[in-house]
Amino acid sequence: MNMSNSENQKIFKFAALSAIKHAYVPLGVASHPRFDPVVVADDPDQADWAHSRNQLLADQLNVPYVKNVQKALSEFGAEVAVISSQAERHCDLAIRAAKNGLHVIQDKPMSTNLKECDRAMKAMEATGVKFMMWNRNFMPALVQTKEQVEAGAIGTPKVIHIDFYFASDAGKPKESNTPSAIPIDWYEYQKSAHDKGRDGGVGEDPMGELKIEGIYPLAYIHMLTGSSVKRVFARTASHFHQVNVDNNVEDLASMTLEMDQNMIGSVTIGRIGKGGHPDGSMVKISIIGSQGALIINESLPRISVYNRKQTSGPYTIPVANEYEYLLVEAFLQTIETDAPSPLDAKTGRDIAATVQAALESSLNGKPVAVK
Amino acid sequence: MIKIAVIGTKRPSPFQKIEPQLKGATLELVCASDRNLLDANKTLLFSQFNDDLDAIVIESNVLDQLLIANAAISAGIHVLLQVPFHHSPTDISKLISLARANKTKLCFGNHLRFSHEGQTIKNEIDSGNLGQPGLLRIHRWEPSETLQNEILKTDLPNKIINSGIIPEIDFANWLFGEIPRNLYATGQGLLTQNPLSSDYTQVHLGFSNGGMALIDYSKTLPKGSGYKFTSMVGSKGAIYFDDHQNINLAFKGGHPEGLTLDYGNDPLRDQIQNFIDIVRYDEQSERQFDEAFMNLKVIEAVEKSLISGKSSKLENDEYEQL
Repeated sequence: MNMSNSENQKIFKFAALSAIKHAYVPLGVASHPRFDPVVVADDPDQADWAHSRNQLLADQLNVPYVKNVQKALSEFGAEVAVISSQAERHCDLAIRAAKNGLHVIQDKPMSTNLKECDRAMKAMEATGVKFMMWNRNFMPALVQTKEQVEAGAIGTPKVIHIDFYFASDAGKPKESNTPSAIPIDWYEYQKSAHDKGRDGGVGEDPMGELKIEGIYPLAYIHMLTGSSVKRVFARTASHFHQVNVDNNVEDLASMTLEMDQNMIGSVTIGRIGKGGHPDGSMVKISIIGSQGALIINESLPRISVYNRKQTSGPYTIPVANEYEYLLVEAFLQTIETDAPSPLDAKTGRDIAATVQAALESSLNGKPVAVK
Repeated sequence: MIKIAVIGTKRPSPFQKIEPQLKGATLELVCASDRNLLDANKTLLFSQFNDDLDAIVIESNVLDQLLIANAAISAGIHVLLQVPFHHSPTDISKLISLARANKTKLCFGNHLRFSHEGQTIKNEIDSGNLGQPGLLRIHRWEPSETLQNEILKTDLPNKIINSGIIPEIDFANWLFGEIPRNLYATGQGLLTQNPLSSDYTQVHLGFSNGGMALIDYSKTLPKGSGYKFTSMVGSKGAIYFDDHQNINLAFKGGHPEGLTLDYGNDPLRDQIQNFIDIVRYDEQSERQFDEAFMNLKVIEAVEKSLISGKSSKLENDEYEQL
């Protein structure tokens, strides 16, 4: 057991399992003073490009890279697994880690397949390890919102709306409503978007923005209200990008949410293209309570920067943004004191079920129950 | 110079402010305080005006909008009927036929179409700058205790739709240039806990180009200012109109206080001027008749969705519940 010299606190060793996506999750965990990386690992059957990316992270963290997940889980003293693989592999890696007694921090989405989410949730329950989906719940504005709600500033929340737009492109703009003669390959496109950090949907299964980013606004709703979504009516569109048209997945969506405790909610979400907002994103939280309302801009506080050399945004820089530290710190409390996980497997699974219901609704035009 | 009576305005000051800016008309205000007069003897009202009145604007809070409009048109008086109008498509169809027969102008007014954000969004869509309209998002929240809401509570007897959302639905249809192919609505009494007395309505619309609108209307805020947010995301850009961005700060100790700004009376002036010009220059639009008729079908479908909890789709110009 490693102990820090100054405060005699335990240092948790973690294994980064597959880091083929942009590595903000393992790097975010590694930035916490009480988590140290000990190994990067992946399965040997992964492609060369995946091994190369894993090796890069291992070099950056100054730890070995092993092409053997089981060896990483059992021979390096790791107590936590941090998973950032292709989306369809997330749950399987999490289950393998849990069966070896490691706590799990997993990148979003939980999976592209709800059955995989169920399997992971049951594995966490059976093994008793702690689990956290990576999330943005500790952004400064979200912390403030939670404080206001918990202090009773608006009475009991009754309605909650989230607008969640990323003003960035995903390849070339949409040219028509019909797929290209030679459709853009989803996986290849995602791999190519790695350098710009826009490979959030990396995996063989094409994913729309509901699957890629939907966990963020839905996690906000869960954190701020404690309510579960019971029924969803949704509309989706491939409105901006040809890669979405070619792969029949949405880049724009809206959901009406009917929740328990008689709450009503909604989410609008989209990767709306570079021209969609000068700040690179537009995220708002609007809550109506029994005694008032909150209108929150998620990107605050921020600094605006303008100069002659700029040809495009974003023109703002977030400040006081220590959400990664706070998020990992909260999970540390989960591990050490059995405090609730900031986003546990059950909640992650329920969010995936909400997204699945939304996608079904967008096809049949009816409100769909979340199962 | 044409003479116009404005019937039912509870707050005459906006009309008084715009009157000097209008070209070709004078206004006479018949405020809601005259409601007893309206209710007691509508014939008397019109007999007062018949000699020199050219047109009337019937505000949205007038319970007997349809009756007054019928009487006016029969008397050869042009009519601007402000939404929300609480009539069936059949009623409006009859009114339109009467206007055609009497060769009077009949306009259906929605101030949102003349609003700063409405004109900006529409111009950006029409110019192509915004690309294909994709997602219209509207939050419109009002205090629970205002004079206006007091009136609106009685405006729509036996209806659970929150009347304040009706102009927003018309606004969405106008921006997308059609009525929705698919819709769903939900709502409840947030403060009243009475499902038949909704103070919150949320409407979700889907259009033929894949675009969508999500609109919520609440009259549950504490006494004071309301809140308005409108955004339209298009395939080539986006527009955001947000009270949140238009608030100044006052420091009086403790946390600063937000100071909301007055957006002015331009939308009302432009709307009334538009009506005046239609009367003066004989510019009645048949398209407006079609829009009003179909918009009322949308409102009917929204109300059915609120009651049934089911969505609807448009088939052969009729909404069918799914």
